Amino acid sequence: SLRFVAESFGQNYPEEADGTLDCISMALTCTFNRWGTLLAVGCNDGRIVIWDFLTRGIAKIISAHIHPVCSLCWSRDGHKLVSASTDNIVSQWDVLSGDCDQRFRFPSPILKVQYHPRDQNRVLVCPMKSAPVMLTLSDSKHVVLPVDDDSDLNVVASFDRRGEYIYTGNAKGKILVLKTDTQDLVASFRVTTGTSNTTAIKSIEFARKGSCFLINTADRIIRVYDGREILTCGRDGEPEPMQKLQDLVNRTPWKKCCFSGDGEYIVAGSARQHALYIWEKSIGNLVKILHGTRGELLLDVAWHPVRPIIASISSGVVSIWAQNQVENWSAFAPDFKELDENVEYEERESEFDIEDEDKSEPEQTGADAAEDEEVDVTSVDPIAAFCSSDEELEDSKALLYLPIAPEVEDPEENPYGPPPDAVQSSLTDEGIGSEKKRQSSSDGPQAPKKKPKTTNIELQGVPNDEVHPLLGVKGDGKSKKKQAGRPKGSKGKDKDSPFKPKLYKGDRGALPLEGAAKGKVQAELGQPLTVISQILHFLELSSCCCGF
Amino acid sequence: MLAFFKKKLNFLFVFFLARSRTVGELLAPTSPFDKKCGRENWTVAFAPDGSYFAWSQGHRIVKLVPWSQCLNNFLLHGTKNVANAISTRLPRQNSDSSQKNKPCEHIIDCGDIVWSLAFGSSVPEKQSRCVNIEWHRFKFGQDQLLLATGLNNGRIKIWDVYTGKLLLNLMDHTEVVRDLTFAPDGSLILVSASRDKTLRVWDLKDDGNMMKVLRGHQNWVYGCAFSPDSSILCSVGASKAVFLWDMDKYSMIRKLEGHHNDVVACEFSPDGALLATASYDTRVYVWDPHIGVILMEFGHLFPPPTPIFAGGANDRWVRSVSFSHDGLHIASLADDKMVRFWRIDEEYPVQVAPLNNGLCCTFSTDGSVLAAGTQDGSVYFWATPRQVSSLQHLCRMAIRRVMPTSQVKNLPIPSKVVEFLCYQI
Repeated sequence: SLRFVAESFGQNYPEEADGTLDCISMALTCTFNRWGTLLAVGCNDGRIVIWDFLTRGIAKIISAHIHPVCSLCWSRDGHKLVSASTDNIVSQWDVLSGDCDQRFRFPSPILKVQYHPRDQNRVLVCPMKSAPVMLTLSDSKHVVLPVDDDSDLNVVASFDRRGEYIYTGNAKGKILVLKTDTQDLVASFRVTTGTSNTTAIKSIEFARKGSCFLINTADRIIRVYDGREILTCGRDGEPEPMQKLQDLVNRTPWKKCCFSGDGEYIVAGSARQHALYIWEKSIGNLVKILHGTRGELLLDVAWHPVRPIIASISSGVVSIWAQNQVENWSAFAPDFKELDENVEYEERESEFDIEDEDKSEPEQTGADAAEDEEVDVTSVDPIAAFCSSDEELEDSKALLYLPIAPEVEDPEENPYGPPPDAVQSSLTDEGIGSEKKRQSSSDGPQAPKKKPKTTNIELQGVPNDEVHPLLGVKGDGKSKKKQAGRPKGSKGKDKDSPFKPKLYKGDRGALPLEGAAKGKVQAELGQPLTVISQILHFLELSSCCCGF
Repeated sequence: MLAFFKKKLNFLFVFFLARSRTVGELLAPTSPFDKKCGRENWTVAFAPDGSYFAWSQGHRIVKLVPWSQCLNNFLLHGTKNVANAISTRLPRQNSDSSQKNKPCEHIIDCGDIVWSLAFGSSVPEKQSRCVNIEWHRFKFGQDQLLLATGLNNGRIKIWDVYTGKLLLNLMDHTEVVRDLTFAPDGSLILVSASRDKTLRVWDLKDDGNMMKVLRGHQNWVYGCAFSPDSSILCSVGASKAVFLWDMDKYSMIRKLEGHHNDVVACEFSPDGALLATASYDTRVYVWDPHIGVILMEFGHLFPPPTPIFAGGANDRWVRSVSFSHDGLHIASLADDKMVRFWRIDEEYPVQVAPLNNGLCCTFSTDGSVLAAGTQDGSVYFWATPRQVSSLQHLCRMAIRRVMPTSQVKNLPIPSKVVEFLCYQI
């Protein structure tokens, strides 16, 4: 049977910069889908740009919100995205069609949205100054999760790897472990720093493999725990972290942390400068610091699920970090051997004879024998890296790649007729095969789009004048400007030609919202916008849609 | 503006331009032994509330025509209408002058050749910002509507429109009062432009007290216009003069250079962001008055005349220009016997209409009709090309009414939107 070369998934960590993903909109947040084939980027103009990671091209743009997109999450089958914008709206999108399935309006800004890892009918939402909420999409109902201290509603939450439990953390360092289905408290502990001083929990991140998770706290230490130990300790337990990671030299605060795909490495993005720190989890040693462009600030960091690649966002641009690509010509021909220096070659006497008289009995064991053997070309072994430890088969209905339509000059004409039904491609043959199915780009006669259902979520005691932290960002006016420079660490190789990001053609009229002063219009979001601002907003949007 | 509405016309096809629909005509009564001169209709004017139309018939007579009745007559009796066909009720028989339920016609004998007309109202125009709100003494039932007439001997006579009576006689100019304009904010400030090279500012609420003399022109002053927010006055005159005055301090803001011959007419756009000037150099220029640059140019002669030729007599003098109330259309009247309707975003006219010996034109208050006066004292009316303004244009006007160009350029918005707002697209 054909075996996919699994060695290419040998986990390690990236070592240098490998280009950027640049589109018209300024990126704010990014997340890989389950297989790392697509990267969804939420932008400050409300768009979700989906990049095809293999070709570094834009596969789709969803005009999701009017306000900046601050959080994204892929569903397990890759068909759906849930997004949150700074105007307190959470929406679910169908990736293939770009339609909004459902919408929820919350009273306060959303810090995080996360699908249940195994049940994409449930979404965990963390609003500001509120207990976390679990939404059920099918009936638009919601459940407010219990908190430890009603006076402290600065709570962050996360599902564990399989979605069995929800871990929540508040500003006093208390971690609660709740059973997802019943919201029963099964374990809890408090994170203390030094001698029983508490520290605020900024985020909780789980690895995709194994049971480890990390807690990023305000005391600038990243604590790595084993989930099994937490459950064993039960309520008010005192588990010890496996590792405590920090930058003792600079006392760097951490903006975002996450695990590598196999859970062996941890990357943390500095909140002070454009730098990524990578530790090895089992040993706890710092293995690498990746430096980006000076003066920029990191907004988000994401590690590819299977490959040693990291995506980081700064100044509205997504930077890719990967391993050093070494040219290996022996990959192309098995007999090809690479030499470090010239070698004297002694040719055989019959080297260039057409018929070799000296040859002994013809060897039957080699190539001929192989010819008679039946070769199985149809069955496919599931790729170990894509399967979870409790699954054997891959999901045959999963969406790994998006069909990209050819750029049609005049979208009014539709020479191919109405588009066929949505095509799903799963990993079939060698992987990088025929995943791009060409479809006509224009919309033929379509059924009128259904208006998505909007549900208002009422939460008691939640203030409605909060402003999302993304909007309140002042002072880094320099970082708002998109810089064309390459992050440091690149060896100067011209990576542009094969991986040049395509500019989506429909963006002809769109322009980046320039200027640090743009924050001024956005900062007024807490209060009703003045009439002039509303008119200007309309002009901006209409110029993007249809020009003047 | 959607591409759907844009039509690029090659100038070769200018002959096939759509002709405007004639709404009506008011023909001056003629008698066999009429003098040839003295009949000209130098100015046409509509009342700010659209109730009246002032018709300078020539021979020192101004007729105040109730506008809606006039329009109805055009519809009922066909477009040709002689003055006498309109039912007349002499004002003296109508004693209760405060009743303005039905505007009635008045005939005013001004005593001298009428060169300029202007309606003034103590009610501020809807679109103008009420800058000088404290001057507005609105007494219920007694909002004043005045007609100012500028005469050959330099006098200005102010008439009450509802009664037809003479209210004031302003005597200061020594030469022909070529143009008059009231401030649109209801303060009854009148500005007169005269061939004696001066402009004078009168306060009619203060019994016609002359507040200021604006000096600066070196030659005849042909026209003047207030900006919609009443803060800027534009005056145009001979020797290529286009001046902008600050009406709070009565000082000159700047001179706009660009014309090659006498500039004879000017008007602001309804949002105050654009200024249109017409000149004997065959051109209409549309300026940005805040920064003083030419945004558009509308020519009346192809190929355009060289500066030397444009500086003298060239048979294509543009006599008048008027801005429509939708802020998108301009009408110009030239000596080549044509009235042209332009869109400010297109190089070639949208519609044309033939007119012999036209002298002046202006849009009606609601912008639906263009009136043009001719040398023989008649007035012709055409329907303006109507179009639903795009929402983007309405937004642009709403913003420009309150923001000058410099403020627009400082807005934190994409540069394309800034260009659009500054009418540079």
